[in-house]
Amino acid sequence: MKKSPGFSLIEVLVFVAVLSLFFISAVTITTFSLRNLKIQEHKIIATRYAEEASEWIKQEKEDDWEIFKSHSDTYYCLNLLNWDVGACTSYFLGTPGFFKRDLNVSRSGNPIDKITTVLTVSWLENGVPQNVILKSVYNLWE
Amino acid sequence: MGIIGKKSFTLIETIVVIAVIGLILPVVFSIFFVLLQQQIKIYRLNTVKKEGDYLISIIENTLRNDTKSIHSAEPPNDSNIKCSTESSAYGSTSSLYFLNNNDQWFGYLLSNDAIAFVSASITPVNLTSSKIKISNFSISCSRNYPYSPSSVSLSFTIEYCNDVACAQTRPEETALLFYRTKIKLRNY
Repeated sequence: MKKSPGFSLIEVLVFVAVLSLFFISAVTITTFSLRNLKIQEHKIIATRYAEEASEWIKQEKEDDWEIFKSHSDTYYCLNLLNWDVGACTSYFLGTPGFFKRDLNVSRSGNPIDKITTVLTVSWLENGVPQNVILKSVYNLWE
Repeated sequence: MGIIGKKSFTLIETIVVIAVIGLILPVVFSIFFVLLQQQIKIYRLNTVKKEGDYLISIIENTLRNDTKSIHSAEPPNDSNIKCSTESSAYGSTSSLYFLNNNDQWFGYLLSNDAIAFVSASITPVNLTSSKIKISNFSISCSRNYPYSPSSVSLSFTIEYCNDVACAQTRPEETALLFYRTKIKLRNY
Protein backbone atom coordinates (compact mmCIF):
# COMPACT_ATOMS: atom_id res chain seq x y z
CA MET A 1 0.00 0.00 0.00
CA LYS A 2 1.35 3.41 -0.96
CA LYS A 3 1.45 6.07 1.71
CA SER A 4 -0.38 9.29 0.69
CA PRO A 5 1.63 12.40 1.55
CA GLY A 6 -1.18 14.67 2.95
CA PHE A 7 -1.00 18.52 3.00
CA SER A 8 1.88 20.48 4.36
CA LEU A 9 1.26 23.48 6.63
CA ILE A 10 2.28 25.92 3.86
CA GLU A 11 -0.21 24.42 1.43
CA VAL A 12 -3.04 24.69 3.91
CA LEU A 13 -2.10 28.28 4.77
CA VAL A 14 -2.04 29.30 1.10
CA PHE A 15 -5.37 27.66 0.51
CA VAL A 16 -6.96 29.34 3.54
CA ALA A 17 -5.50 32.70 2.51
CA VAL A 18 -6.92 32.42 -1.02
CA LEU A 19 -10.28 31.30 0.33
CA SER A 20 -10.46 34.13 2.85
CA LEU A 21 -9.49 36.67 0.19
CA PHE A 22 -12.37 35.41 -1.91
CA PHE A 23 -14.80 35.58 1.01
CA ILE A 24 -13.68 39.03 2.08
CA SER A 25 -14.06 40.43 -1.44
CA ALA A 26 -17.47 38.79 -1.84
CA VAL A 27 -18.72 40.23 1.44
CA THR A 28 -17.29 43.66 0.61
CA ILE A 29 -19.04 43.73 -2.76
CA THR A 30 -22.27 42.55 -1.20
CA THR A 31 -22.30 45.13 1.57
CA PHE A 32 -21.40 47.82 -0.94
CA SER A 33 -24.29 46.90 -3.19
CA LEU A 34 -26.55 46.65 -0.17
CA ARG A 35 -25.63 50.19 0.80
CA ASN A 36 -26.33 51.30 -2.76
CA LEU A 37 -29.72 49.62 -2.71
CA LYS A 38 -30.56 51.40 0.53
CA ILE A 39 -29.63 54.72 -1.06
CA GLN A 40 -31.81 53.83 -4.06
CA GLU A 41 -34.74 53.10 -1.78
CA HIS A 42 -34.39 56.40 -0.01
CA LYS A 43 -33.96 58.19 -3.30
CA ILE A 44 -37.28 56.84 -4.59
CA ILE A 45 -39.04 58.10 -1.47
CA ALA A 46 -37.19 61.42 -1.56
CA THR A 47 -38.16 61.93 -5.21
CA ARG A 48 -41.77 61.37 -4.24
CA TYR A 49 -41.49 63.99 -1.49
CA ALA A 50 -39.87 66.41 -3.91
CA GLU A 51 -42.63 65.91 -6.48
CA GLU A 52 -45.27 66.33 -3.81
CA ALA A 53 -43.79 69.66 -2.77
CA SER A 54 -43.38 70.72 -6.38
CA GLU A 55 -47.10 70.03 -6.95
CA TRP A 56 -47.91 72.03 -3.86
CA ILE A 57 -45.85 75.01 -5.01
CA LYS A 58 -47.61 74.89 -8.38
CA GLN A 59 -50.95 74.95 -6.58
CA GLU A 60 -49.86 77.91 -4.50
CA LYS A 61 -48.87 79.70 -7.65
CA GLU A 62 -52.13 78.89 -9.45
CA ASP A 63 -54.26 79.73 -6.46
CA ASP A 64 -53.03 83.25 -6.07
CA TRP A 65 -50.07 84.81 -7.87
CA GLU A 66 -50.14 87.95 -5.69
CA ILE A 67 -49.65 85.96 -2.50
CA PHE A 68 -47.18 83.66 -4.19
CA LYS A 69 -44.90 86.44 -5.34
CA SER A 70 -45.00 88.13 -1.94
CA HIS A 71 -42.80 85.43 -0.41
CA SER A 72 -39.28 86.69 0.03
CA ASP A 73 -35.98 85.53 -1.46
CA THR A 74 -34.96 83.15 1.27
CA TYR A 75 -35.04 79.58 2.47
CA TYR A 76 -38.29 77.95 3.48
CA CYS A 77 -38.77 74.65 5.28
CA LEU A 78 -41.48 72.71 3.45
CA ASN A 79 -41.56 69.68 5.73
CA LEU A 80 -45.21 70.36 6.54
CA LEU A 81 -46.06 72.04 3.23
CA ASN A 82 -46.33 75.46 4.85
CA TRP A 83 -44.35 78.59 4.14
CA ASP A 84 -42.15 78.18 7.23
CA VAL A 85 -39.32 80.70 6.96
CA GLY A 86 -35.81 79.37 7.50
CA ALA A 87 -34.03 76.21 6.47
CA CYS A 88 -35.18 72.99 8.10
CA THR A 89 -33.27 72.18 11.25
CA SER A 90 -34.14 68.52 11.69
CA TYR A 91 -34.92 65.47 9.61
CA PHE A 92 -38.51 64.66 10.51
CA LEU A 93 -40.31 64.13 7.21
CA GLY A 94 -41.67 60.62 6.66
CA THR A 95 -42.33 57.74 9.02
CA PRO A 96 -39.95 57.33 10.75
CA GLY A 97 -38.67 60.89 10.26
CA PHE A 98 -35.71 60.67 7.96
CA PHE A 99 -35.91 63.47 5.38
CA LYS A 100 -36.04 67.23 5.27
CA ARG A 101 -37.35 69.44 2.51
CA ASP A 102 -35.95 72.91 1.86
CA LEU A 103 -37.02 75.47 -0.67
CA ASN A 104 -34.93 78.36 -1.91
CA VAL A 105 -36.92 81.13 -3.57
CA SER A 106 -35.38 83.76 -5.83
CA ARG A 107 -37.51 86.32 -7.61
CA SER A 108 -36.66 88.42 -10.61
CA GLY A 109 -38.23 91.17 -12.70
CA ASN A 110 -39.72 94.50 -11.71
CA PRO A 111 -42.61 94.06 -11.12
CA ILE A 112 -41.85 90.47 -10.22
CA ASP A 113 -42.81 88.17 -13.08
CA LYS A 114 -40.48 85.23 -12.63
CA ILE A 115 -39.81 83.09 -9.59
CA THR A 116 -37.10 80.44 -9.55
CA THR A 117 -37.33 77.78 -6.89
CA VAL A 118 -34.83 75.14 -5.90
CA LEU A 119 -36.32 72.33 -3.89
CA THR A 120 -33.94 70.07 -2.00
CA VAL A 121 -35.00 66.90 -0.23
CA SER A 122 -32.09 65.64 1.83
CA TRP A 123 -31.36 62.86 4.22
CA LEU A 124 -28.41 61.28 6.00
CA GLU A 125 -27.11 57.97 4.72
CA ASN A 126 -24.83 56.61 7.48
CA GLY A 127 -23.99 60.17 8.34
CA VAL A 128 -23.30 61.18 4.74
CA PRO A 129 -25.78 63.76 3.42
CA GLN A 130 -27.62 62.81 0.24
CA ASN A 131 -30.13 64.88 -1.66
CA VAL A 132 -32.61 65.10 -4.49
CA ILE A 133 -32.88 68.50 -6.15
CA LEU A 134 -35.78 69.85 -8.23
CA LYS A 135 -35.44 73.23 -9.89
CA SER A 136 -38.44 75.01 -11.35
CA VAL A 137 -39.31 78.39 -12.77
CA TYR A 138 -42.74 79.95 -12.33
CA ASN A 139 -44.07 82.69 -14.55
CA LEU A 140 -47.12 84.85 -14.21
CA TRP A 141 -48.18 83.95 -17.74
CA GLU A 142 -48.11 80.25 -18.19
CA MET B 1 3.50 -0.18 6.70
CA GLY B 2 -0.21 -0.12 7.05
CA ILE B 3 -2.73 2.10 8.75
CA ILE B 4 -0.53 3.04 11.71
CA GLY B 5 1.95 5.32 9.89
CA LYS B 6 -0.64 7.30 7.97
CA LYS B 7 -1.32 10.86 9.09
CA SER B 8 -4.95 11.91 9.31
CA PHE B 9 -7.21 14.51 10.92
CA THR B 10 -8.15 13.92 14.51
CA LEU B 11 -11.73 14.26 15.70
CA ILE B 12 -10.93 17.55 17.44
CA GLU B 13 -9.48 19.05 14.26
CA THR B 14 -12.52 18.04 12.26
CA ILE B 15 -14.87 19.48 14.87
CA VAL B 16 -12.99 22.78 14.89
CA VAL B 17 -13.14 22.99 11.09
CA ILE B 18 -16.86 22.25 11.06
CA ALA B 19 -17.46 24.83 13.82
CA VAL B 20 -15.60 27.51 11.85
CA ILE B 21 -17.56 26.67 8.69
CA GLY B 22 -20.74 26.71 10.75
CA LEU B 23 -19.92 30.22 11.92
CA ILE B 24 -18.99 31.60 8.52
CA LEU B 25 -21.80 30.15 6.39
CA PRO B 26 -24.72 31.66 8.35
CA VAL B 27 -23.05 35.08 8.21
CA VAL B 28 -22.55 34.83 4.44
CA PHE B 29 -26.08 33.60 3.83
CA SER B 30 -27.67 36.19 6.10
CA ILE B 31 -25.91 38.93 4.14
CA PHE B 32 -27.27 37.47 0.92
CA PHE B 33 -30.72 37.23 2.47
CA VAL B 34 -30.70 40.89 3.46
CA LEU B 35 -29.55 41.77 -0.05
CA LEU B 36 -32.40 39.84 -1.58
CA GLN B 37 -34.91 41.41 0.78
CA GLN B 38 -33.65 44.86 -0.05
CA GLN B 39 -33.99 44.16 -3.76
CA ILE B 40 -37.58 43.04 -3.25
CA LYS B 41 -38.31 46.22 -1.34
CA ILE B 42 -36.83 48.39 -4.09
CA TYR B 43 -38.84 46.50 -6.68
CA ARG B 44 -42.03 47.09 -4.69
CA LEU B 45 -41.34 50.76 -4.12
CA ASN B 46 -40.60 51.16 -7.81
CA THR B 47 -43.84 49.45 -8.78
CA VAL B 48 -45.82 51.57 -6.34
CA LYS B 49 -44.22 54.78 -7.58
CA LYS B 50 -44.72 53.83 -11.23
CA GLU B 51 -48.40 53.05 -10.69
CA GLY B 52 -48.94 56.17 -8.59
CA ASP B 53 -47.26 58.43 -11.14
CA TYR B 54 -49.32 56.84 -13.91
CA LEU B 55 -52.55 57.39 -11.97
CA ILE B 56 -51.75 61.01 -11.22
CA SER B 57 -50.68 61.80 -14.76
CA ILE B 58 -53.72 60.20 -16.42
CA ILE B 59 -56.19 61.85 -14.04
CA GLU B 60 -54.41 65.18 -14.33
CA ASN B 61 -54.40 65.12 -18.12
CA THR B 62 -58.05 64.20 -18.52
CA LEU B 63 -59.23 66.68 -15.93
CA ARG B 64 -57.04 69.57 -16.94
CA ASN B 65 -57.72 69.42 -20.64
CA ASP B 66 -61.13 67.87 -21.14
CA THR B 67 -63.35 68.70 -18.22
CA LYS B 68 -66.23 71.11 -18.52
CA SER B 69 -68.20 70.46 -15.33
CA ILE B 70 -68.02 68.41 -12.15
CA HIS B 71 -70.78 66.15 -10.86
CA SER B 72 -71.42 64.06 -7.78
CA ALA B 73 -73.31 61.21 -9.48
CA GLU B 74 -73.71 59.51 -12.84
CA PRO B 75 -75.10 60.23 -15.34
CA PRO B 76 -74.16 63.89 -14.82
CA ASN B 77 -76.97 66.39 -15.12
CA ASP B 78 -77.85 69.84 -13.84
CA SER B 79 -79.17 68.56 -10.53
CA ASN B 80 -75.90 66.94 -9.41
CA ILE B 81 -73.51 69.58 -10.68
CA LYS B 82 -70.91 70.66 -8.10
CA CYS B 83 -68.45 73.53 -7.66
CA SER B 84 -70.05 75.62 -10.37
CA THR B 85 -70.63 78.70 -8.25
CA GLU B 86 -68.29 80.93 -6.32
CA SER B 87 -67.08 79.72 -2.90
CA SER B 88 -68.53 76.27 -3.33
CA ALA B 89 -66.87 72.99 -2.50
CA TYR B 90 -67.67 69.32 -2.59
CA GLY B 91 -65.72 66.32 -1.41
CA SER B 92 -66.03 62.58 -1.73
CA THR B 93 -64.07 59.54 -0.66
CA SER B 94 -65.44 57.31 -3.39
CA SER B 95 -66.14 58.97 -6.73
CA LEU B 96 -66.44 62.09 -8.85
CA TYR B 97 -67.84 62.43 -12.36
CA PHE B 98 -67.05 64.89 -15.11
CA LEU B 99 -68.49 66.10 -18.38
CA ASN B 100 -66.12 66.77 -21.24
CA ASN B 101 -66.34 69.21 -24.14
CA ASN B 102 -68.24 66.74 -26.31
CA ASP B 103 -70.83 66.26 -23.56
CA GLN B 104 -69.55 62.77 -22.89
CA TRP B 105 -69.21 61.90 -19.24
CA PHE B 106 -66.49 60.03 -17.40
CA GLY B 107 -65.49 59.56 -13.81
CA TYR B 108 -63.00 58.15 -11.36
CA LEU B 109 -64.10 55.94 -8.52
CA LEU B 110 -62.64 53.79 -5.80
CA SER B 111 -63.75 50.19 -6.13
CA ASN B 112 -62.22 47.19 -4.37
CA ASP B 113 -59.09 49.08 -3.30
CA ALA B 114 -58.36 50.25 -6.83
CA ILE B 115 -59.06 53.44 -8.73
CA ALA B 116 -61.27 52.78 -11.73
CA PHE B 117 -62.10 54.85 -14.78
CA VAL B 118 -65.73 54.78 -15.85
CA SER B 119 -67.60 56.38 -18.72
CA ALA B 120 -70.91 56.12 -20.53
CA SER B 121 -69.59 53.62 -23.03
CA ILE B 122 -67.43 51.37 -20.85
CA THR B 123 -67.81 49.56 -17.56
CA PRO B 124 -65.31 50.52 -14.83
CA VAL B 125 -61.72 49.71 -15.73
CA ASN B 126 -59.12 49.50 -13.00
CA LEU B 127 -56.19 51.81 -13.60
CA THR B 128 -53.90 49.96 -11.21
CA SER B 129 -52.70 46.38 -11.23
CA SER B 130 -54.02 43.73 -8.87
CA LYS B 131 -50.93 43.93 -6.65
CA ILE B 132 -51.68 47.53 -5.75
CA LYS B 133 -53.98 48.72 -3.00
CA ILE B 134 -55.35 52.24 -2.84
CA SER B 135 -56.55 53.63 0.47
CA ASN B 136 -57.44 56.99 2.00
CA PHE B 137 -58.80 58.01 -1.37
CA SER B 138 -60.23 61.48 -1.44
CA ILE B 139 -61.38 63.53 -4.40
CA SER B 140 -62.87 66.96 -3.99
CA CYS B 141 -63.52 70.13 -5.91
CA SER B 142 -63.68 73.79 -5.01
CA ARG B 143 -64.16 77.14 -6.64
CA ASN B 144 -62.91 80.20 -4.84
CA TYR B 145 -63.45 83.12 -7.19
CA PRO B 146 -65.96 83.78 -9.96
CA TYR B 147 -63.16 84.67 -12.40
CA SER B 148 -61.05 81.56 -11.82
CA PRO B 149 -61.94 78.02 -12.82
CA SER B 150 -62.72 75.23 -10.38
CA SER B 151 -59.96 72.98 -9.17
CA VAL B 152 -60.02 69.34 -8.21
CA SER B 153 -57.96 68.01 -5.29
CA LEU B 154 -56.96 64.41 -5.22
CA SER B 155 -55.14 62.38 -2.62
CA PHE B 156 -54.54 58.72 -1.97
CA THR B 157 -52.19 56.26 -0.35
CA ILE B 158 -50.81 53.60 -2.61
CA GLU B 159 -49.40 50.37 -1.26
CA TYR B 160 -47.93 47.14 -2.56
CA CYS B 161 -49.87 43.98 -1.66
CA ASN B 162 -48.23 40.62 -1.47
CA ASP B 163 -51.43 38.65 -0.96
CA VAL B 164 -55.15 39.18 -1.19
CA ALA B 165 -55.50 40.23 2.43
CA CYS B 166 -52.72 42.82 2.05
CA ALA B 167 -51.77 42.35 5.69
CA GLN B 168 -48.00 42.73 5.73
CA THR B 169 -46.97 44.61 8.82
CA ARG B 170 -43.21 44.20 8.87
CA PRO B 171 -41.55 47.47 7.92
CA GLU B 172 -39.10 45.83 5.53
CA GLU B 173 -41.97 44.42 3.50
CA THR B 174 -44.19 47.45 3.17
CA ALA B 175 -43.91 49.79 0.22
CA LEU B 176 -46.22 52.73 0.67
CA LEU B 177 -46.35 56.18 -0.87
CA PHE B 178 -48.69 59.10 -0.39
CA TYR B 179 -49.92 61.12 -3.36
CA ARG B 180 -51.63 64.46 -3.36
CA THR B 181 -52.29 66.89 -6.15
CA LYS B 182 -54.56 69.73 -7.14
CA ILE B 183 -55.66 70.22 -10.71
CA LYS B 184 -57.01 73.42 -12.15
CA LEU B 185 -59.53 72.86 -14.93
CA ARG B 186 -58.44 74.79 -17.98
CA ASN B 187 -61.52 74.17 -20.08
CA TYR B 188 -64.00 75.18 -17.49
